Amino acid sequence: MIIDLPSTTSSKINRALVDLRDQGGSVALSRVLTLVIVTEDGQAEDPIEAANAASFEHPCRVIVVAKGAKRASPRLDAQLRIGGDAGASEVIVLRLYGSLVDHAASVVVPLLLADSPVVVWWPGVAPEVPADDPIGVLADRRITDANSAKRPVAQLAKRRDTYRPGDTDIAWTRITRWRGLLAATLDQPPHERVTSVEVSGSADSPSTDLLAAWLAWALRCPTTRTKAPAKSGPGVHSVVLTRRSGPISLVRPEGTTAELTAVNQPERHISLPRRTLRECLSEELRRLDADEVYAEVLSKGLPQVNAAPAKAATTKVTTKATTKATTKAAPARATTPARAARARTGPAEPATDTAAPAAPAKTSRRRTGASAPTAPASTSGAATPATRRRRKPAVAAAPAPAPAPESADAVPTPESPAGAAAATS
Amino acid sequence: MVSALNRLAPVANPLRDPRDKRLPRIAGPSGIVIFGVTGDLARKKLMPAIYDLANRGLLPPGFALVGFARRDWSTENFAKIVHDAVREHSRTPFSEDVWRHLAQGFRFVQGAFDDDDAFDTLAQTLQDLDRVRGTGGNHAFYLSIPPGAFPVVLKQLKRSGLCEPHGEEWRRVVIEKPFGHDLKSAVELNSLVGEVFPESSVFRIDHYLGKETVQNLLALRFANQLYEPIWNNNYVDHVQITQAEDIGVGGRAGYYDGIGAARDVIQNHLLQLMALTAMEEPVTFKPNDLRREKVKILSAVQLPKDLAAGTARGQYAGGWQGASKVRGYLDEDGIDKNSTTETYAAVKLLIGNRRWAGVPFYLRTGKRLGKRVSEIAVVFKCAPHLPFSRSDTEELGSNMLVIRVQPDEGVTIRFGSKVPGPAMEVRDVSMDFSYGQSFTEASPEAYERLILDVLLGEPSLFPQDREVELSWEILDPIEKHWSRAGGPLEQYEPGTWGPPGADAMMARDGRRWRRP
Repeated sequence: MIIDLPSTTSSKINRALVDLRDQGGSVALSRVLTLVIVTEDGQAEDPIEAANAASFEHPCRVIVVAKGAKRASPRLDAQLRIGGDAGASEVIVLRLYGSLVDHAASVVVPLLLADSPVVVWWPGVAPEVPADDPIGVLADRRITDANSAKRPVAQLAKRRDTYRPGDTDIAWTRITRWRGLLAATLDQPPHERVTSVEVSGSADSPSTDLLAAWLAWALRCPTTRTKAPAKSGPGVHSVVLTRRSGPISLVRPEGTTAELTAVNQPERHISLPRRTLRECLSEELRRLDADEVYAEVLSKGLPQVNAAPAKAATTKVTTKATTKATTKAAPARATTPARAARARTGPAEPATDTAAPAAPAKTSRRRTGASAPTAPASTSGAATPATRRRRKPAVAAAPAPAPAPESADAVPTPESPAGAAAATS
Repeated sequence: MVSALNRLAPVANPLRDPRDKRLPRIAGPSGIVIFGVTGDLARKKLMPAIYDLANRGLLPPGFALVGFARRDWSTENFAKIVHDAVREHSRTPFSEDVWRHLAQGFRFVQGAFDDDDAFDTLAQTLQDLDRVRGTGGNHAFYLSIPPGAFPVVLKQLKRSGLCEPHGEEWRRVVIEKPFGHDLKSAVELNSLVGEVFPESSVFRIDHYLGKETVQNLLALRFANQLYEPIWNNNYVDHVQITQAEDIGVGGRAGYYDGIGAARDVIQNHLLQLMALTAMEEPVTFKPNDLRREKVKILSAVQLPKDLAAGTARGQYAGGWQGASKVRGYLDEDGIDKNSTTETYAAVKLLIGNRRWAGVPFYLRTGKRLGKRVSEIAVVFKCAPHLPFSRSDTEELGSNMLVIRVQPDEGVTIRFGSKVPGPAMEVRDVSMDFSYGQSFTEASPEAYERLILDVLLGEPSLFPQDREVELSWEILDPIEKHWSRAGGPLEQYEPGTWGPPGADAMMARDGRRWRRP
């Protein structure tokens, strides 16, 4: 049932809702939360659909604040959607015009459900500081979507700077399945430390950055985030966890199927499509307390990506290797900064720029010393998953020390000379 | 022996921060072998549950499903059977991608249960799956087979070495009810299974324990301050636990006759519900702590001294039910005219502890009753003194807290309220929390939850051997009394709520059955 209330006020809307309950016996009053969706007029339908679908799990009252033309005279048009048109919720669409656009909170407050948590979601452009926004202040949970910003990865840095408990971002929700699969791989023996991580995804994918940040923060090892080839599509492309006995790689060459490879294991496939908005929203509404892990990943994990390895991890080895590295790395360093600059996608951080080129060279030195197979891994970036895929039997059987020669063909960027130099020297 | 290590692993995993509540617990590399894969249960529940788990991303990459049956099928035929079952009964939408990946792990082994070669082929198949699909040597054997076939299948699993895990692998067995026919057979069955699998690898499915609302019972009792103070014999008058079906025995006649409603439902589902309602608060929700409390409460259950007065049973007669004409139990196909198998059973049980002394628990179940419903009704004592006049409170019943297990999942509190009008008339009203049909659309089916727990090695939702034996200790004397009493049984009209004897049983105690 859809009821239109043009030129109305909040108290009239409340009265209309009570009337509806009396007349039509609207579906159960047991709403568990109020979801406020703040969007532009004309962009409301997709978020409403996602909210309706999510309502089967979380019956709620959905208040959509659609901001219309500012130049008009102040007016509030409301539309109530109950029953079939609203999934299992009741949806109140508020269209604001004129100067009312800046005072959405005054319209929303009377409509919030008693005794229930409030969640605010900005599917499109989000305010600078969500927690200080007039509607954000009312909420227990604030959901933004870095993907809708003009510069998604830069948006992530902004989220980090303005984080308050209760903030969360859909870029983080999008990678939950990746995280679950990766955690499950480490549940299995051998239970070895992961020595380095490489995450690859499209340049404008904040989810890739968050995934790298999470791994850097949780595993406390050098983590690089590289750019995937354009043909691999949007989103995360691959994750490689390096361990002493061999790497674990989870690669999604195109949008739906992922391949999981580990040493002495056959290659396994699993469906891993990009998550829909509906799924992401359902997950976000499942827990309404502050997401502490997200907070730490944002504040501590993000800076660690593509940064120099922590001193504690490398003190023992660097004493021997650094002397070698500082002398031998000089030629490699000459070529890597250019490539490294091209490969890095996040906010340009001068501090890490100089440190980073040393890190791959250093770690590759260390690893060739220990005859680990992934010496070229960090230097050849996005190429490795592709080459590894082609050389399936080699990886499964024994750690292959030199796919570097082939990497020259596979990789569009000219780091292969450096890679070959690093591997063979 | 092995599962302990598996359960330790998640704690040491650096990617699993305990605060990371979003992180799903995906099963490790594993596979399931289903014996009895042609049965109804496999088709309507197991296969769709496995698909739904895969669709939700909770199955490991490289999961394998092996069917074992006598049919002359190829793996393609088997895949088609699974496909049809999934299309018809799955809960989540069908995704071609998910299906394709899952189907790559299907295998079918043809054979009879006593066929040595077939089991050797099965062992070979599992080894191949470990090598090619990456199931890691972790296999669960789901025995969806008649009880008579248990000994031979278990013997084969032992002979072929399939029950032996190597190194860090696990091998588990999943068995469906009935867990025996009486105490003696249940103990025999437990020791038979115990010869082949350690108790920690045995998972008995009581699918009620996988239901959301049953788990909600624990949340309701132990997460709230409100209910614990009144959850005892100072305030509770009695508890009624009901499981009613509106269907008859239908095609299950061959299985049902000789078993009866009490063995089919009361021994497992209703006693488990009773245990969850009556138990003391566990120290934590770890499996051991939870089971300890359940065993403790079941061991405190007492039977009424007069079994004839404290039990009732009946069979449904022919007649009209809900717009169709139906046959009586004794007229069903395959049922002997002199059968003394009950299709309705009601028992009164007491609990000998401080909390529940003097509070009867009435458990009833039946086929062809008014409607399909399962609920637990905690009925409170009436107020000791009512300042209202008698006529004003004539319509006032007792306060009740009702947990509706199915179909309309939720919790209701019934209390007295003033009827609008000039007089002070008080009547019962309901305060309701309802998940409702549509609200649990997104919540998983019981079998999904249980199968995942088998693969994860999580035993909380599975009754252990001691619980099963205690349940039989409670039911056995009743069954013996009934078999001594003999037939014929009282008949009840289909679509009603049971035989007159059941109402008489309650009336003797001055109480009435609630109409669900």
